Amino acid sequence: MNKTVTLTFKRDELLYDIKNMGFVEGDTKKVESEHERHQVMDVGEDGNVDRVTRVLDLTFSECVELCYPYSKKAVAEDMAKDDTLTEGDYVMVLTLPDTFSETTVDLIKNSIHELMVCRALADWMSITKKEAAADWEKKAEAARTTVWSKINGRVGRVRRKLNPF
Amino acid sequence: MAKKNVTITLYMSELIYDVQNKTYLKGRSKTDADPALVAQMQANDDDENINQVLRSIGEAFGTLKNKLSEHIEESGTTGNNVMQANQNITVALKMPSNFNQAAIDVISSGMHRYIVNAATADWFNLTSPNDAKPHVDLANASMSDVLDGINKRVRPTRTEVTP
Repeated sequence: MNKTVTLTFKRDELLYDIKNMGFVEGDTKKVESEHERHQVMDVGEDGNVDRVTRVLDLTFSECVELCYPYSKKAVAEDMAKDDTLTEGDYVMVLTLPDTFSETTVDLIKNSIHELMVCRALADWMSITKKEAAADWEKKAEAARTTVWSKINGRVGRVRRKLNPF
Repeated sequence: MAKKNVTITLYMSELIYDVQNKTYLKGRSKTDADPALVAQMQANDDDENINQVLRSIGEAFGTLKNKLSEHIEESGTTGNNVMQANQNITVALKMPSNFNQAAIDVISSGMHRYIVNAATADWFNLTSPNDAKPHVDLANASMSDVLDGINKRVRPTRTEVTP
């Protein structure tokens, strides 16, 4: 029997982590003028946050696709989609086999959050602090690998004794 | 993200007084100079003096606004070259939500120092060219202070997410 698990990634939580690390990256940047520093720190400000939203959207879509066996959804009749920028929480519904472990779900949830944050930071750093971009991309890739490998995890089978007494 | 509105007002009377006071003190310190030259160095309220100082203040203000243009939103489509002694200077800055408001004092005092030193340098260019350079340097240093302050940011604070 399959079980439905809903994973919600709150936009405010994602943005806080992105802005927090943006602040630290800006604070540690060697600069000739403060102008270079504030661009790194302003990752969550007007205009900049729209780029972050696009990257979060893209990364979330990638995560949903990573979990394809359990996240797939049939295309509806007369479906229409457009590229209007919208802001909101990211919700993923997984239909998991009953042998799937809750601990694995937790790891997948945390890894997807990490992947979305790191991918957004890698993108922003590629614009404002190029020397840091590769590190964030590496972290994103590590989180992606975790999601990919764990999505196929199962709980072990319990061997039942043949003789109940 | 809501922008932070920061309004800085520089009183023209304070700017003019500071320019006049600096030029007066500089002139007074030249004990071995020709008294006529010293008198020319000391800006006063005579029309030709005050008009020159006002013109320099206007130019310095324009440069300042240009440097801060990233944070200034104005809808006006016209400009003029009139600067009056009774007209205060107001700069309305639209700062990002993570702007560090502790820097406002540095920004306002830096703006004042920039305008005063730029105007004083202009004045000495006309009346005592050898004394202009230090004020150009001071004006540049003041501009750096303003830009440093403008770019100060605070760490984001986490708000509790309601389930």
